[in-house]
Amino acid sequence: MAYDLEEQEQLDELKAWWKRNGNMVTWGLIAVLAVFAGFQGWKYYQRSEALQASVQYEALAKMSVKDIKDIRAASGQIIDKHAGTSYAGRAALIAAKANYANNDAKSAKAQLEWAMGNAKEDSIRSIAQLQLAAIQLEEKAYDAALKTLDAKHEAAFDGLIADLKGDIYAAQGKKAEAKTAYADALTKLQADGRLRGYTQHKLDALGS
Amino acid sequence: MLDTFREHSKGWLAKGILALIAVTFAVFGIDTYLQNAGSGAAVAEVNGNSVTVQEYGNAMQTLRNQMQAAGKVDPTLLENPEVRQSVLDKLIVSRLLNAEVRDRNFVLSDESLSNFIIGLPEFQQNGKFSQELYDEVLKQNNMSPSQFEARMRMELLVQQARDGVAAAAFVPNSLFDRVMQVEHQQREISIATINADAFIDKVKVEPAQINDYYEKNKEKFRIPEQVKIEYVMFSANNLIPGIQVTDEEAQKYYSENAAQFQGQEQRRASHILIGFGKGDAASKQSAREKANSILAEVKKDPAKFDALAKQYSQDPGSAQNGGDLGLFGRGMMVKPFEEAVFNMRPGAISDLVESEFGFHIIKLTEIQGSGQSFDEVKTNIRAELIYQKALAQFAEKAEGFSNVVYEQSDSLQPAAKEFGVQVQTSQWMSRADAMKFFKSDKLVNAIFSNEVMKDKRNTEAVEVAPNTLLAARVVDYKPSAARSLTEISTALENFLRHEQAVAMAIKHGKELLSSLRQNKDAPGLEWIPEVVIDRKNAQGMSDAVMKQAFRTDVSSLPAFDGIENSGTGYTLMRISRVDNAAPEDNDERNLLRGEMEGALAEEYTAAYLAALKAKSDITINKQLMEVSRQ
Repeated sequence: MAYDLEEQEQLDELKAWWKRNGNMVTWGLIAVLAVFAGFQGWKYYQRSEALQASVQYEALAKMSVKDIKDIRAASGQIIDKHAGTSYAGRAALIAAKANYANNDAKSAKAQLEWAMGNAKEDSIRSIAQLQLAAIQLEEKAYDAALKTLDAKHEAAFDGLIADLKGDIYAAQGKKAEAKTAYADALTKLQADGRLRGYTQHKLDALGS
Repeated sequence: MLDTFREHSKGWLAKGILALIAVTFAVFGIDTYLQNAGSGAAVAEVNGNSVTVQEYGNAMQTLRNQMQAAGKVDPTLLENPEVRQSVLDKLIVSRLLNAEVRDRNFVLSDESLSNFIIGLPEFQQNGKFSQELYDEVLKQNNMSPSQFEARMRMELLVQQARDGVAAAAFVPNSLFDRVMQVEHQQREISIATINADAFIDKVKVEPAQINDYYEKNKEKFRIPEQVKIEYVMFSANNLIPGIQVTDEEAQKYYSENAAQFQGQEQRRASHILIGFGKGDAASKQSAREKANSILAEVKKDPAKFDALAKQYSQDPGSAQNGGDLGLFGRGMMVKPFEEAVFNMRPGAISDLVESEFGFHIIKLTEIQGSGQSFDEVKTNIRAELIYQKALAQFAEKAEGFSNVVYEQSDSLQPAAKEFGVQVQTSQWMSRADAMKFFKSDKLVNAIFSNEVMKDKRNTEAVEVAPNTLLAARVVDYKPSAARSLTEISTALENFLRHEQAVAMAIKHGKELLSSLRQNKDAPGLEWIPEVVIDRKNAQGMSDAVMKQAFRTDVSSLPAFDGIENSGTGYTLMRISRVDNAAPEDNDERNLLRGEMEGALAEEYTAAYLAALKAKSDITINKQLMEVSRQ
């Protein structure tokens, strides 16, 4: 192979450059590959986590409210072992509902508190918040219930939040506040939903 | 478009665009690029993901099919913007859920997926999953197993995500009890009405009042501007008298549309077939002679048809049955044979009929189902043809009519003369009158335009109804004018008298209400006998009374309330008892609780979807949505 002078010069330059920087380039490449592999590994891990959680969640979702023992065990598994998945928050909601139905409001509240702070989905956190406040209302812990509702939540849940606030004020005998809250709920709940019918009637019942 | 592009192709903008295209090619390959260009523009974009025109069209088509299957065939429903929007909305929501399920790492095990698919009734044979059926159904729907499974997986995951939200809903006991109290309350109520009529005599309307009211509301009493117009109407119907239709044309129409007239008719015939033998002229001639001699025998004694068929017919299929071919409809026999059979009377025997198989002697034995003979439908066919021809002529002449009206814009006479129609003259009419009369926005707007109203030009020829053109011109014009006080003073007086009577009734009603609320007497009221109402049983109370009755503050009983009745007076209400009628039966309570939880679940789901929407970047191409009418 014969190079002309210019080509030879360029080749020498390249060799020199590689001598100076080759090490760094190699390490750089290795680093990039390592990050890539790590990312892929992380994704794979997440997926397999989610898959295990999904199988357990499916079984949980099919359980009858009466099988409270099974529900507690299964939801506990998901929440403990797969807290990083979307399924954990949802499992907590199922467990809370079942616990409440079996007269264990304390456990229900604990699960809702956990979901409110830890569920991966914003909407699930907002639902947990609503349900926690509803149980607090039942326990006549009105201030605690209002405080729960004042926490940050998805704007799409504003109507439901206002409706429940109306319920709390009404239970406290604060008619004016209750009316305002219900009226506010009526502007935010779904226009063609069935729930607003109940809200309208609750508002009417406060007298006008 | 391309020209502009070329002109500017040296500019920076074009370079930028070209660079973008090049990058797209480099990254995704030319295929994706063409695919996107070909599959049509996006009706909506959801986080950069398109809902294509084609998808939207398919969804509309699916809805149309569902409606038809349900027996609803009103096609205008699908033109309703709200319906169209909701179809698009479904597609957008499904996009959002698909993305959410992916982003949130919802996954489905292969086992769950296959359990679900195996359980689908579509793929079951004798109560068990059949692999062959599965492959076949997928093939029919142009889908590979991996495509189908991916789609099912996505659907199940979306279901898992959405149903999980709904299933979380529950109503605590105290809240449920309160709602039951509200929903199932009974109130014992009586009402007394105060009618404006009772006050009419007490009202004095002063001339000054009338005057005052007139001055303040003058504009309301204006007579709108009016026009008197001439118009000519040219429609396909005008052409009917001049149109001729011959019997041949009618006959031709009859045979071309045989299916329509002969419908489901079936005929039964027997035949004797004599084949051509070798097919050359000589054997054909001998076949004809033989057939003729058989025909002579049949004609002599038609009762022997069966026997002769058995003896001579060369159609092995029917000969044994005495030539009987059974029932058949149009289109099942060779043409000459069919023509003969469908033009015979029952029991008749044909002359020789020649077909590719040979010579037939045919006997018509039975007619089933209804068909209409040419004579029966001749008149209708002629009418139909005359109308068709009129439409065709109208289509030819319509442009000419429009041109004459436009070119000779200071008179309608030329158009009337050329197209043989009458110029008609209207009464005085306002815009509203004209709208009632012509029922065409376009025409009425044209008549009341400056060009037509002030400059006295013809309107253009407007299609006011299918195949009907109308052109008009204004011959006289009255500007809008105020009505004089004397003209309307009696009407005003009556109106004001009634208004004031209503106001007095309401005032009186309110005074009585306030006395009643202070436990004072309210004489002269006729209370109706008490009835017990609940939210679902009005017991004859009006909607307005029902609405207020459950709003009335009942902290002390009897409670009084009242409502104004627009135009008639005032209604006083007395609530004497409030009962809690919430059901105590457990089954019924569970049912009601289920209902309420269902409503809550719906609201959870709606909020969940609304939250997804709020976080997304959604743009809808309204115009494209309007025009994509599949």
